Parts: sequence; C-alpha cells; structure tokens
Amino acid sequence: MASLTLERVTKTFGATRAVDAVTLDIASGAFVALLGPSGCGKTTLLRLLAGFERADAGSLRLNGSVLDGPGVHIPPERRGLGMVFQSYALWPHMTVAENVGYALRVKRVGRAERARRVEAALAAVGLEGLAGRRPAALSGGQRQRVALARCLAMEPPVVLLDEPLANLDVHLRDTMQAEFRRLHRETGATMVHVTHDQAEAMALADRVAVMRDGVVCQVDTPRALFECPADAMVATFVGKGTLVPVTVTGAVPSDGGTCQADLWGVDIRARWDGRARSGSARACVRPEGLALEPAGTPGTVPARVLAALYQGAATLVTLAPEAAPDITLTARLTGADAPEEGQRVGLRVLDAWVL
Amino acid sequence: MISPAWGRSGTLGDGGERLLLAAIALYVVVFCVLPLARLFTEALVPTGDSGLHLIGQVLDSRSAQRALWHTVEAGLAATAISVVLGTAMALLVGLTDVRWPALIVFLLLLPTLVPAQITAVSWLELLSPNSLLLGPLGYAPPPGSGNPLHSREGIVALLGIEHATMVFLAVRAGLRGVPRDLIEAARAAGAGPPRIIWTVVLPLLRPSIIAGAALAFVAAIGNFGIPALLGIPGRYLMLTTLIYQRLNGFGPSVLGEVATLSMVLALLAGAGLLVQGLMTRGRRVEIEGTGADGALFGLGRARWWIEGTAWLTLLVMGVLPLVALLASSLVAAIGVPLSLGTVTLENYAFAFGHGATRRAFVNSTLLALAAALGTVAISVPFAYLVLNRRNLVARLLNGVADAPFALPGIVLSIAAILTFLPPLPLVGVSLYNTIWIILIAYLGRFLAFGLRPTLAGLAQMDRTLEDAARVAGAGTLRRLWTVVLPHAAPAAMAGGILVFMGAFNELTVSALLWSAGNETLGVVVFNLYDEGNANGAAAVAVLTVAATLAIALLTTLASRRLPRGVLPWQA
Ligand SMILES: Nc1ncnc2c1ncn2[C@@H]1O[C@H](COP(=O)(O)OP(=O)(O)O)[C@@H](O)[C@H]1O
Ligand SMILES: [Mg+2]
Repeated sequence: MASLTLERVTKTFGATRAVDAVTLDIASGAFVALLGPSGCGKTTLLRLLAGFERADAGSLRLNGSVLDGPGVHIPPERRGLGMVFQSYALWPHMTVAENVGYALRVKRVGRAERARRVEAALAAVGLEGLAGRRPAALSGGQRQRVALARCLAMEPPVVLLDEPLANLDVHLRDTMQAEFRRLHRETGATMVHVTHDQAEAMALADRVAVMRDGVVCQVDTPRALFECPADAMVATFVGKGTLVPVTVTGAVPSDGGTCQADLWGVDIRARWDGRARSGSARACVRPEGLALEPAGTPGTVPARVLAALYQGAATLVTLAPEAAPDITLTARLTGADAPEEGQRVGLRVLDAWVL
Repeated sequence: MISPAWGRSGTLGDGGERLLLAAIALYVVVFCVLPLARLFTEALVPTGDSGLHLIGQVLDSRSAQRALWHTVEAGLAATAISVVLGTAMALLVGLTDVRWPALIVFLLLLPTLVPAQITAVSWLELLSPNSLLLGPLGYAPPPGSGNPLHSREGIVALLGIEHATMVFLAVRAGLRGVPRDLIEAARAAGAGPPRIIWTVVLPLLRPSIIAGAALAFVAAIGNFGIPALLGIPGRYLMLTTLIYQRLNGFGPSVLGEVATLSMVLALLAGAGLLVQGLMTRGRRVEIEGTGADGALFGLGRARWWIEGTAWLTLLVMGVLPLVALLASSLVAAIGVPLSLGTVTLENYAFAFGHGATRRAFVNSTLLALAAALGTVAISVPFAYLVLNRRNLVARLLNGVADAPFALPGIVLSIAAILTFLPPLPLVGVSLYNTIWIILIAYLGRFLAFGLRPTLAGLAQMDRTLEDAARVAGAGTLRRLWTVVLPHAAPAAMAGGILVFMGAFNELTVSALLWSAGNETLGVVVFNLYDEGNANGAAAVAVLTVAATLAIALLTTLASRRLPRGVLPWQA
C-alpha cells in the first residue's frame, strides 16, 4: 500500500516544459490513468515517478518520504517501484523465468523462494509452462504478460505502466484491460497507467488525470470527466465534445444543477455547477446530447447537414448551425433515418454542460 | 550539453559507476593523454633547454623544410588521386546497376586489410626491372635502371591508391543521405545521368567528399611504410621518414628535434581533421524517404566500357601487386624467372627458421592479442558510460581517446618514447627497449579502433532494457554485467578483432619502438626488404596477408550476428 504525492513537479527539456508544475495526489491502492494527447508529457511524468528523470522543481513523495526534491533524488534502483514499459523491455538473452526472477535475484531472494514467486507471477498472468522460453519465441500478447509478471514478481507497492496496451491488437487489448483490473484488485498495488486512449483510461481507472502541454487539467472519476469537464481542453478531448457560445440567463429554481441559457436565440436547458455566473459562457455539447427534428420546430436550432456517416449502430451527422456556420456540431442518431446532405433541419439540445 | 541532473547530489550514479569512470579515466590518461601531453611540452620546452629556440632551429634546417614541403606536396597530390578513384567507385557502386558490386567493394577495401609496407613491397616487386609478371611480357623497366617507384610520383600514386578507400566509404555514406527524390526530379526534368551527377549528385555530396579527402590527406601524411620503402632509396623524405632517419641515426639525443617535427606533423593532421569535423558536423540529418543508394541509373550501352575500365583499375590497384608478391615469395632469389621448375618454398622455410622472423610472429600475435583484450575490456564500460548516462566526463574522455588513432602513428611513437624512456616512478625501470612500450603504444593507438564498433553496437540497444533493470533494483555494475555486456559483446568482439588485425600488421608505431628480440612482423618485412632479401620479405608478407584475410573472412561470415554498422568494411 502506497500513496504518491506530487507537488508542483516541473521538468523542462531545453525550451520545452514537458511537465509543468504538476500537483497530484495518488491515493494508496488507487488506479489512476494519465490521459492526454501524444507529446503532452505523460511519459516524462511517469519517468519522474520512476526516477529516470530528475525534477527541476517541486517534490515527489512516496508515503510521505521524499523521493525527489531539492537536494534529494532517490535513483530508480532504490525506489522499489514496478514498471511495465511500452516496448516491454524484456531482456532477449534471458529466459522468461530469468526475466521474471531478475529483481528477486538482485534482492538476494533464495533460490527456492525465487522459483516459487516466479511461478506464482507467471501463473497470475496465465503463462504457466513458458518459463523456459526466450522472449523472441513469444507472441506480442505473451510478451506483454511476461512484462507484467516481471513487474508483479517484485511485489511492488506501486506499478507504473507506460502505454502498455499500445502495441497490442484491439482484441487482446480488451482481454488485457480485464487482466489489469483483476490484478489491481488482487494485489492492491497503486497503479499509474499512461495512455492516450480515452476509452482505455475510462474503462480501467478509478481516477483519470487529463494532461495537456505538461499541465494536469483535471483529475476526476471517468464519469465526472465525461459529464462535467472542467475546461475546454478536457471537454473537447474526452468524448468528442464541441464548444458553443451561450448566454446564461438564470438558474432553474427547482433544480440547482440546471440553468436556463440562450443558444443562438434559442432557449435551452443546460447543466452547470452553480459557480458559473450568469452572462456569456461556453457550453459543451456531445453527439449523444443532440437530436434532429424537422426544420422550423420551435425550440430547435436551425442547421444545415454537412455530412452523414453511417457507422452501423448509429449514424454520425455533422451539421453547421445557420447562426454560426463555421462551427461544426456532430449528432449521433440511432435508429432514425439519416438526413440528406445539405438538408435543413432543426437541432434540439438534450444535454449541455456550462463550463 | 550538460545533462540537467549533472552535478547535483544523488545523480552522480552509485559507487559502481564512479569506479568505472575512474578506471576509464586512468586508462585514457596513461595511454592517450599523458604521452601526447608530454610530446607537446617537449616540443615547446625541450628538456634541458629553456626557450623556444629549438623550434626555430629545427624549422630553419633545410632537411626539415624540404620534408615539410614534400609532406604537403605528396599528401595533396595523393589526396587528389584518392578523391577521383574513391568518388568514381562510390558513384558506380552506389548509383548504377553495375554487376557484382560486392566484389568491387571487397577489392576496394583490400588496401585497408593489407598494411602499407606490404603494399609497398608488392608494388616494388611488380614494377622492378626484375618483375616476374611484367618481365616475361616485356613491360618491365630495362635492367640496370632503378625502380620507377623510387620517386615522388611513385609515392604519390601508391598513397593515393592506398587511401582511396576512405573517400569511397565517406562518399558511399553520403549517397545514402541524398534524397532519391532529388535525383528522380532531375530525371523527370529531362537530365541524363552525367548531367545529374554533375549538377545534382556531386554538389550534394561535396561535404562527404571533402570529409573523405581530409581523412585521406591525414592518412597520407602519416603513412610510414610507403614513403619509407619508396622514398628513402629515392631520396624523397617526408616528415615521417625524416623523423625515422634522425632517430635511427642519432638515437634519443635528438628526441627534442624529432618531437618538434612530430608536432609539425600532428598540426598538419589536426588541420585535416578539423576540416573533416566541420564537414561532418550536424550532417546527420534524417532524410525523408529513401536515400539515393540503389541502382538508379542503368549503365546501358556504356556498360562494357565502364565495367571494363572499373575492373581493369581494380585489378591493377588491388590484385596485380599481390600476385607479384606471391610470385616473388616463390622464387629463390632476385632475377630468377618464375616457372614450374623454379618454384620453391625455400623462402617460407626461411620465414619459419629465421630467428627474428619467428620471434616476430610470436611477438605480433601476443601484442595484438593483448591490445585486443585490453581494448575490449575497457570499451564496453566506456561505451556504456558515454551512451547511457550522458556522462560528461565519459564523453570528454571519448573525444580524447580518438586522438592517438587519428594522429599519425609516428607521432604516438615519439610521444611514447618521451614518456616511457625515463625510468618509471616507484619501480625505477625504463620501458624503452622492451616489448612493453610497444604494447602501451598499441593500447593508446587502437583504443578508438575498438571503441567505435562497441559504441555503434551498443547505441542500437533499446535503452529501456537497462531502465527495466534499474527498476528491478540493479546497481550499475550488475546492470553492466547482466544486461549491457550481453548486448555489447558481439560488437565489442568485432572491435577486438579489428584491433587485432590492426596491431598484427602494424609498422608505423613499432618502427621506432622495436628493439633486438622485440621485433614485430611489420618491422621484419621492412628490415628484410631493406637488407635486400626481397623474396624472404615477400614470403613473410604473404603469410601475414593470408592470416589477415582469413580473420577478415571469418569475421564477415559471422557478421550476420553483429549489429549493423560495426564492421567498417560493411559500413
Ligand atoms: N529526453 C528528452 N529530451 C528532450 N525533450 C524531451 C525528452 N523527453 C521528452 N521530451 C519532450 O517533452 C515533451 C513530452 O514528451 P513525452 O513525455 O514523451 O510525451 P507523451 O508521453 O505524452 O507523448 C515532448 O515535447 C518531447 O519532445
Ligand atoms: Mg509517451
């Protein structure tokens, strides 16, 4: 059981602020995902946690004791954290068992005890019987499991995972996600999982930290992240949201979580956190929160259909509102007939969130 | 650039890393820095002399001025030949659909496997008035006339051929960096191959050509075997041969003077290396798409003409002299024609029976082995520190380690004599006139030779493999042993073999450092030829070439297990 505390951790490479004053609390036993587009500093943050990089400013603590801070830097080999690398980093000249048992050897764990723990770790990832193989003789999914077993054999209090699923095909990815959840439950280890895939982050983590340009924008549960994004970046990155300009006209008396707003002259209802004040604001609308009605229906926004993309279970319709033709909105329609390209329609806002 | 973590507490690495760094620093200081620093101070402030006036004296002497002029003149002329030959062959192999390109490359690389003194002996045998090959054809120089190679032109020609390989390799590498699109765009614009080469390819290759030329120049002015065997009888002294003659004739009493001459030679070489450095700096640009290395141009109707010229050149350059050498080794004495009746293995029997020659085989083998082992042992941790920890000190040492290899070998010999002629502190014995001074010089000279392949090989190791070991709790020494060494081993082995081949064939360094009982193979070939036993020299030379080629062949066969870019002849 271990908690990690980051306080204004900063790391710059030349002119790039790869990690910029990140403050983050990772509770003991939590499963946290670091989510963000490529190049936003996720790997750097993870390498700071592991100790491969040294923070230029700020501090990092494990269970309250400083790992990295002014005048202190505990090197990775003395942190005792587990890490699964994106490339797996299996040593090609060692067998699976030697790979998995390496850390135990370093710690001078006795031969019998080592064998037992290697076997247990391999069993935990479902790789009994492959102990004598070399990594080159394994499939991608098996290598991934060996990397995981190698990390688990150390029985680390914290497991760091850097895009561990990025090199797997879609089918294996789902299986491994379930494995990660199960192992998290069974080991109770604190897990920090880096990914650029929002679906993966949402499916795996109790809490997701969204990053952009080295900054952590929001840390929340997957549901809160989706429903109540804290800023424009999170709103657009998570769940394909679009931002539209609204004017909040007042709270809905009966419901503290909802307000009355004006969108291009149309009166809509939107969720808000009450802290937002009346006046000009931006709201996030998602494809699921939009519906199409015939043009001219009262309470709908006049819009023109740009394209309709059939996706099997649903149709994604992109639209340009007539009041603001340079904004593109996407509606996700299930069941209904898809409209024609260029057709005029009325857009009903079922759900919106005021930032 | 200084790593951001450098110099702050907790990031200097563990005790193991400091231990490694200290060992490497000691090695580099003793074998590289100390001798060169000693040479530098001796040249500026000679022992027992308080001023700079020796420099003036030395440079005022007519023989020194003449040797300096000869060095520059022959060096530049030879470089011109190397550039023409090397560039033409690189374009032929790199851009056209010439047949058997691998064989062409092998023949071009032959001079790097055959040491200069043997090249010189081979050519002398080929073009002598008693030539066994040209004589029967009626093309040999008339009896009684001298060997035409005993001349400035002979030296220039041989130096030019010897170092064409360097230009070839540089241009070949440069071609891979020329975007193929640029050539194809010129084709689409309607230009024919000659015009494209002249207006597009050569201008883009100019930095590579200049870099290769600079290397060829440095090698030419530092060469000892060719100017010694051709120029001493031909009374055309270059700096290397002047140093050799002075030290041989007058012994350590002229050390101050030869130190000054070595410094002049080192400065000339330094200028060449500077040019090369400037040309290659920042040139490692990633090109988009593929490089222009592949059969872009068909030879078409010119095929017979071009391939014929190429093969004739390669035959004359690389094969004929070796055949002449072989022929000489098979006849009993100069002037005996070669026929089935006159073929004899007498010279080989001599080679194995003659005391100095037998000793030389043992000495060179042991020296080369020791140099290879020492270099491999230090190269792996050295390369590791240079690459993986962005260690400033290690990278500085890496730069210094290049110097003894890049500078002419004779400069290093003088430096070694200056440093190790005085009795060693504490023990009180001098290493001069022992085999140890040769080994010390080799360990300095060939460090870069072994280190570079190891660096190239280790650079291809996935860095996260080591990170994974750190996460598992392994300290520096354990990571080095369990993770880095298995990855570096093939490349380090290749480096060791290169060091072995270089040291086994070496003459330039040992020419000044050998003593009775401590001969090397290079010295024996040189001395035998010098004493007039050309046929005995040829036999020893054939044996060393055969041994070298066998090692090169075996290494090439094993190279499938090596990381790319480790063997210089496969670059
Ligand atoms: N060792 C490094 N040297 C210089 N710049 C780096 C280094 N590592 C990362 N960066 C830069 O820092 C930024 C964040 O990189 P990274 O943490 O790898 O992003 P992510 O993992 O989110 O894709 C990028 O702009 C990257 O170019
Ligand atoms: Mg990354």
